[in-house]
Amino acid sequence: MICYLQNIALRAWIRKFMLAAILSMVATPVFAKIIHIKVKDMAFSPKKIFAHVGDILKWDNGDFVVHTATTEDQVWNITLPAHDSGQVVLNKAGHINYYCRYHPAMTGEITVKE
Amino acid sequence: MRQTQKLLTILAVLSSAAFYGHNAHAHTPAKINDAQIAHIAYTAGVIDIKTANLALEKTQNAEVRDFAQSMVKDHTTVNDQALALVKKLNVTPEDNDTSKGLVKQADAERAKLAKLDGAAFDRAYATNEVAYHKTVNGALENTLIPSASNPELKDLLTTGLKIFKGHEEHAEHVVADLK
Repeated sequence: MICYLQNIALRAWIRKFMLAAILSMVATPVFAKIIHIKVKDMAFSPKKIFAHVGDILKWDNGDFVVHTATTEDQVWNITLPAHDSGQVVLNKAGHINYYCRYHPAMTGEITVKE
Repeated sequence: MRQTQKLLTILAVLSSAAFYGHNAHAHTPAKINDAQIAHIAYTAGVIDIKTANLALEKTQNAEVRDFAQSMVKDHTTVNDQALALVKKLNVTPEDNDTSKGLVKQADAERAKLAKLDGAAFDRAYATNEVAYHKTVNGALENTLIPSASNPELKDLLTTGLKIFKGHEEHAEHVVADLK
């Protein structure tokens, strides 16, 4: 009888553990956002972005010329083909200045928080 | 630099509100038409591509090389868009005195640039690009865009102007960095 009750308790604990694990997997993307940046008429819009670690930045290039999203330290150099997009996952906190390598007057800023 | 001034004079005439084709002395001036506008805009792009290709042959400077590559890339794209549009509109770009004058003067300017080397070439090329874009942009803004009657051509020229203003700023950065 005791063994039977122990089995039931163990199964209930396993169910709870699995439920918690599944919930945590489902819940993670809820906190990570996809932030869209419009690239049009030779400008990034919005020019300033506030984001969190884990967020995804997605640049949607509406121009018919190729652009890039390139950090000043060249850690990213994302090509944004004409009428196409490019993205990056923000994996650490900090302040980032970026520009288009082909059109350096196009600039943007991202502040990433934990 | 005299050749540059002649080239800029041609474009400056274009950028003035008084430009009405080669029949400027007539009382009823002939307004520039869409076929001529398309030809002038396309020609201006070809000129900048040829000058950029010369820069790519001659320069050893990474910044100048990047700039020249951008000029080839963007002007080729804009000209491809222009060709697609005139095909769609069934318009044949019409050669005209302005286009011919631009080509003649640009050829002479390129021949002068070709004689320069190293830092002297880089400075002359970048300075010329600032002046060239400034004047072409003025012509687009003041004459070609207002004169274009087809809305799609007007849109393409307007988009082109935004791109070329970016080039002008880029060229100014290069000139400043070369000092």
